[in-house]
Amino acid sequence: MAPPTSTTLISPAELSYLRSSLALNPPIRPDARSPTQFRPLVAEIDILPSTNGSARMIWGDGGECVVGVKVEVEPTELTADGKRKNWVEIGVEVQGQRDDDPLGVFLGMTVTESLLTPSSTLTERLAITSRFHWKMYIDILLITPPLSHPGTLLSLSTNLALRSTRLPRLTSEADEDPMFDDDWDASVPLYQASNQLPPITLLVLSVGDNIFFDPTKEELAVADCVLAVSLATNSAKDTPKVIGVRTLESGSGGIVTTAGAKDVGSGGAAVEATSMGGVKRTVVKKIIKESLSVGKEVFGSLQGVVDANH
Amino acid sequence: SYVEWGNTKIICNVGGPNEPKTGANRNQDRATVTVEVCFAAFSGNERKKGAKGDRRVQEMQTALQRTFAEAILTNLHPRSEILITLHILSQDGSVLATCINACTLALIDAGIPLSDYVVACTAGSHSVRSGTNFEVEGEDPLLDMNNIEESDLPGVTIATIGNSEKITLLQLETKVRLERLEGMMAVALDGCRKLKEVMDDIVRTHGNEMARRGAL
Repeated sequence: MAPPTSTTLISPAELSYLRSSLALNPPIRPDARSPTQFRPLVAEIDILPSTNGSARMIWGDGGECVVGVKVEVEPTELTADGKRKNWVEIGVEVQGQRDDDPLGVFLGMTVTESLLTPSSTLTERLAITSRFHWKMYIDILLITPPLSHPGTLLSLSTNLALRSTRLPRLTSEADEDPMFDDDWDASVPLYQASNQLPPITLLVLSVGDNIFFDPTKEELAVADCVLAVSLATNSAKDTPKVIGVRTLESGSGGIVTTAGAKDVGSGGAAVEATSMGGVKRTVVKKIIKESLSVGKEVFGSLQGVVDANH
Repeated sequence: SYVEWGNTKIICNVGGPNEPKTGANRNQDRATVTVEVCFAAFSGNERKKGAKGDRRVQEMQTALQRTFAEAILTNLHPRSEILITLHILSQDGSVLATCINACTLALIDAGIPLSDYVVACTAGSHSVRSGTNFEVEGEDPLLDMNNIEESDLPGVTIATIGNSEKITLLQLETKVRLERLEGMMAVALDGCRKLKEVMDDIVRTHGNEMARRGAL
């Protein structure tokens, strides 16, 4: 299982306070947000002239991330299965950490997974002719060390970078060696406006029966279960589909011991109740369902960023 | 700080003065300055995932560290460490000079005591072959070279401190004729002086804005 990004030091009293506040009905978050409300963020695209596509986002907790996409022509190897697996290479660089740090590799995988599922059409778009394809390098630079799990930040930034990616226009005929137009204005966007959009991954956590989007690191430390839900859609106006769900390690894992003073029942004496680990199926269903509507809003906002740039 | 010099774009983060991470950096009378330079894989024309141990990067780090260890008033913060991190997002020539300028601005923003602005600039020399003459004398040096010029022509990077013409860093990695060097240096020093005024302007505007918002 993946290592947690950073251990949040919280005292037992804080943990219990936070958990009870999040488990209420309706829940109260420490910053008084609604469960589906994101913190303010900054997003801009097409900022680096030396890349095919680029984006930069500043997340609610101050984390900043720059993503650059570059492509190179590569000859296609004629192997049967999995020949398309190496067409996309993702590198994550976190400030102040070494290249082979497991955190960087893990973060890269969370982004790669959703991009390489069959329902995202990324690899098909990279084919040029039957003998050549584009090798795409997506490089993610985390400028500030990750404070809470940066999964959503990376995924949304990558999404924006892919939306802004342009490929040179092919001028050669079908099976010749590829030749391209030198005029950058004639370049072709990787994701045409009307086609399917690149996927995003949202982090959702559950405490008791409640679910929350865009968690802070304290909320992550008390969560029962944290899911990374990947969504893809055809256009910003459609409701997206869930294309993948992954669980992440969270603070308490659902095992909670409470010395309950309230809601005890008729006895009146304080009771120690321990709930077993895990999360209920109904909660998971609720997470998936809410992700669809929240995902649609997120896609809509991302579309707004892209439109503002044109 | 974020500096865009033509197409060279650099982000600089400054942290500190902090507790030194390694015991070796703990110096009893002064603060240690640590510089980390990180070239993004997408910064050049080709995608290149540079290893951290690259010699060129090491040299740049050492040069920056020595320059700023002089400029920062390190005796005011003994036994601490000032960590400067530079992310180079896009390279188009004059990278070292842009790094220095970005560092200066970031250090000012961080409130770390500097003796004065450290401003850097590049200058190059070109020659024109005409007919039987090998060179035409008196060609003016070029100020602020971009990538194409840097890879083709000899160039020097000069950093000055304050309004004086004291040079705190001079880097010449190419071969150049000796009589041209003085001309290049003069042009670069002039460029630094003008640049210092621009940077001073920006710092004051930013400072006034922060004061207006009540952040100071």
